[in-house]
Amino acid sequence: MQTSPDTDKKITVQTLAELGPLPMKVALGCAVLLPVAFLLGWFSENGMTKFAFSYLQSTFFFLSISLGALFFVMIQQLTRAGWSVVLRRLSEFIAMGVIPLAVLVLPIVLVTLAGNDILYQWASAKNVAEDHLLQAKAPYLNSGFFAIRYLIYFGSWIFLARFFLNKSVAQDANGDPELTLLMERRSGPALLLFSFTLTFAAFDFIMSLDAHWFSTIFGVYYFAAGLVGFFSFLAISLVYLRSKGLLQEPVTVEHLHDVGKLLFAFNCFWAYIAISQYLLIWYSNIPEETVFYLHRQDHGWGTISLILVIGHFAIPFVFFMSRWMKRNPKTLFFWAFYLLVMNWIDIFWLVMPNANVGGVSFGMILVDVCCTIGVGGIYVAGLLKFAGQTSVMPVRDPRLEESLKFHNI
Amino acid sequence: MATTIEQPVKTKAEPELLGFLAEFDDPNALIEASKKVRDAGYRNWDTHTPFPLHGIDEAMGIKWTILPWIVACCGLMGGTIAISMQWYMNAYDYPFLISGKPLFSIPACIPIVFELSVLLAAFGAFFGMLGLNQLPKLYNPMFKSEAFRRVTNDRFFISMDAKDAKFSEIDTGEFLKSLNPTNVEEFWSDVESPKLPRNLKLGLSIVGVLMIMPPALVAYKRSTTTNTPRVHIVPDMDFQPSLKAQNTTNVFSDGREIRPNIKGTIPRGQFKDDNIPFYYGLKYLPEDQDVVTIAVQDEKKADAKPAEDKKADAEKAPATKPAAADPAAAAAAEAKKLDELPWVTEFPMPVTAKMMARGKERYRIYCSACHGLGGEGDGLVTLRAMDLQQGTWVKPASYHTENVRKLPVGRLYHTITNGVRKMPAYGPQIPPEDRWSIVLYLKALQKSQQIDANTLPEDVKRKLRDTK
Repeated sequence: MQTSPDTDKKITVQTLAELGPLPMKVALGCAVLLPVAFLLGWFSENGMTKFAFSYLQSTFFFLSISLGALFFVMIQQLTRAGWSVVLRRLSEFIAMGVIPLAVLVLPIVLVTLAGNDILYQWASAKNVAEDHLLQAKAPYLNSGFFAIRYLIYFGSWIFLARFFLNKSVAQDANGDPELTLLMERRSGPALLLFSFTLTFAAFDFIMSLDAHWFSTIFGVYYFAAGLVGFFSFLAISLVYLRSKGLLQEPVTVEHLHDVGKLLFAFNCFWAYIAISQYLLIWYSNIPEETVFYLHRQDHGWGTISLILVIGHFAIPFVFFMSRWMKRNPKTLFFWAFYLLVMNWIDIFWLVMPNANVGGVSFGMILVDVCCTIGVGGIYVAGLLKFAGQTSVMPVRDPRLEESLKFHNI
Repeated sequence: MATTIEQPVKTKAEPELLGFLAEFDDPNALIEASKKVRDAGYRNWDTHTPFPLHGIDEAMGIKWTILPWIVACCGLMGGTIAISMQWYMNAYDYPFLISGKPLFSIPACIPIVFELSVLLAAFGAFFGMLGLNQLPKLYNPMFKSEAFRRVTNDRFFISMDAKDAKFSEIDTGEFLKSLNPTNVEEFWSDVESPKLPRNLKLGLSIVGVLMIMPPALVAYKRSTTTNTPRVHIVPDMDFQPSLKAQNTTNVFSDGREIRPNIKGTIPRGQFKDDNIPFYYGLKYLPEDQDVVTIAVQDEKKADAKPAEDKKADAEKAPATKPAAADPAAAAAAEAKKLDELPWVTEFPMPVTAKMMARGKERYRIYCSACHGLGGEGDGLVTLRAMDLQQGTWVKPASYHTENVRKLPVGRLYHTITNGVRKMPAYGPQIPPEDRWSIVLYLKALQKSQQIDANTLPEDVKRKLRDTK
């Protein structure tokens, strides 16, 4: 592979540090809302349960974005994609979010390891002794093994995210095309590792909240949700960075269009997975499966479910399909933000009904929103820290020229 | 040469100017030229390149394709067809309850709606694309140009169509030359009708003959007989390992292929004890049921009695035999037992005119052959049996005797169900509702023969007199 002769002379290196100190300040300011959410929970009825579930929801909402980014980076390498090179470094930064999230998820694991059943009923020996099904699942669902799996999952993701970022950054310095070939070779097995860890992490952390229920498609569901989250986040970041003068020339309307297309496609994929899970359970009508949806029909959860069906699929399907919507940065920003909110509601819908604190309430949503903004502050601060002085584009990638000249038609 | 037969001379059509071709050797030159042609206001023209050229659409002023709208319409049409088809089939034309779901159930429709939407959208995209591109087009007069052959290699062309409103032979030619092409040439319509090549004709004929052969062979085989065994194309279908009713097998220890009911179970729809008056014609089931029905009683005995009592049954069987030796006494004992059973005297269901009509119809089908249309025991079968002086024939009872009139409806129902004397049991043939309808009609027949004529109103009497 030949390095393109002229690119490394023309491209100016831009970093996220050019945004100034404001984003970092705002992010850290938002992080203050996390203790606020904790206090809100402390002073309300069932507050600790609400807070614990909100905390799980918030961390796994941002985790889904980072895992989506990791998947995107790997699939671009695997398919030797040229168009996406200018977006790849940003995705690599977002994937690095798994590091702050590993720290943020640690309290959940520690609480479970201490035998507290505030989140997972299988964590307490008393619950297991009373429940035949939990006994049957105990060889897998026990807090010791859970902690080990936490180490495996986050260890793998941190390893993958660091590997792809470090190799890519190393190429900025030496322009060695061998690094691209190395990343291409590693991305295949990496994707295997990724898909297994993601699937089982979704099973362990979210599905096992209701340890009686199980759905083999659940891992894919979380994956689909994560990709919608990631592409929304990417589109928002791109439009924001371009408005601040970063990546303005390299990232054109053509790239935005493709990000929009992928966002739209994965939103349809999410709907496809969601209906697949629902349809099988609905058709077979087996009580231990349908209970998942039963919880999500009562006490106000039915409204949230309908919001997901109409808001997460029907409305964007009709309005976001158009080419114009994706090629206009403003409308793209709007729909990306809208779908990010929908993705948040989706994770909310997955996690919160298991809290059993009597339906949807304003208090719950308030705690949840505060918690999400708080966790989000830490998450974004972490991303900015990792981005640091690194170029926001892989300036000496051998396919960069192809990406710069990318044109849809 | 005076005798030459005048052949109709095939006059060659005047070749017609179809347009101009301008040749360029550089894609950028083509784009620049295209912009000029676009700005000059021509509509009916095209560019030809060996590879997709970025920016040519803008340079030519081509509008964004309407294909997405065609695809969207086709997709929506597919969805609509799918949903209305499923409503019509599942909920309207042939309602069929599947696992307790509603007849028209949206979740169940989703996969089909999805599939049909995708299918029709794909058709819309494929055929819409072909249509918008005016494909398939097998021939184009431009192909005759020698220079145009390089369009798939390294040359770029603009073609101006003569159908354009702005087209004129001289001006357009001059205009094209002003665009600095390497070459400008005209292309003309064909003067000869294109003939099919001989080889193609031959090939098509052979293919046609080959295609006719299989159906012809099938038709021949189907219309003739043969003494060779038939060909089993799918032997698994012809010789299935499935068991056949009434055969023996060594799969089950009792050697029967047809499986008896499992002990302690009741087949669906055969549980009758929840409406005893309706199914048995009795107010309640008495302890001793042996006279009521033979079939039901046998089942009950087998279920109720544990295996140890089999021996008792075996002893009892010979004991009943002496009773059979004295048929008259046995019959009398049975009749006495029947009289004592708690028959229902009222119909266990609402009596309606519809039920009477049904009873009349069923009576004429099942009963009138022996009992006669009027119920006097003078049906055609009876008349013929009497004519032939058949010794074994027992004349059916007239319904209008004092004895029969006194019988409660439950007893009549029982008689239809289980039969009496020579009359066979009709229970297996006639469903309970129809048996009750027949009883109702029978009661009406009895009433019609026993009424005092003076109690009838005048007009009815007149009508009876006038009717033959």
